[in-house]
Amino acid sequence: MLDASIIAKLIMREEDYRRAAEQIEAHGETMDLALIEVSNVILKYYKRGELSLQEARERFKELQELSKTLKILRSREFLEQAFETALERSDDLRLSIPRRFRYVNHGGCQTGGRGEAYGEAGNPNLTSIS
Amino acid sequence: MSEVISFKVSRELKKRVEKLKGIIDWPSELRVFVEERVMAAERSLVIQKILERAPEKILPAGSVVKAIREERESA
Repeated sequence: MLDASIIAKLIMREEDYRRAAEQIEAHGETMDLALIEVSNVILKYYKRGELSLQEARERFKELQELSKTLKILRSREFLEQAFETALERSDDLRLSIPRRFRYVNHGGCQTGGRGEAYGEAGNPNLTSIS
Repeated sequence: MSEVISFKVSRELKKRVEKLKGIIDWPSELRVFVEERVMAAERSLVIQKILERAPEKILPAGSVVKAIREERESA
């Protein structure tokens, strides 16, 4: 499953974004929340004045086009497990879902043989790039 | 509305496919395969289009992870 950080890396053209493109091409599956998070990253850069209005709209359009070609998993289906994680850690759900399923470089990530970083849950189906 | 797609295979393969009719739900499996293959090909085209657009600026490594982390932690 693709983490929001990989999609954002391509859309925002962060260093090494071509590698992110390869990962997205190979995996093609993400959570609905990831699309909101990537949209928020676009908004954040626009609000900071680091993206023009036109650029922000273009990046969002790219995200929309890309999302049509991805299998989108509903976060609702992961809610129960995320809730349990939130109870264990006294977390907010918005933190526990990424922590449980879409861990992004909060430290402790392991890099796999093909450049994949696995989540806290140790699920090799999760993919992120630090 | 559904449409029919047909394609040719060898007589030998057709016989083998027919023998497995009770084990494999061919229409269902082939539909899933075609849908996934189409989506993967469309994904490649969209990504290619994105990559063709030369960026004005490349963000330093770690920028988007930082932005996402801030968003998650401020929730």
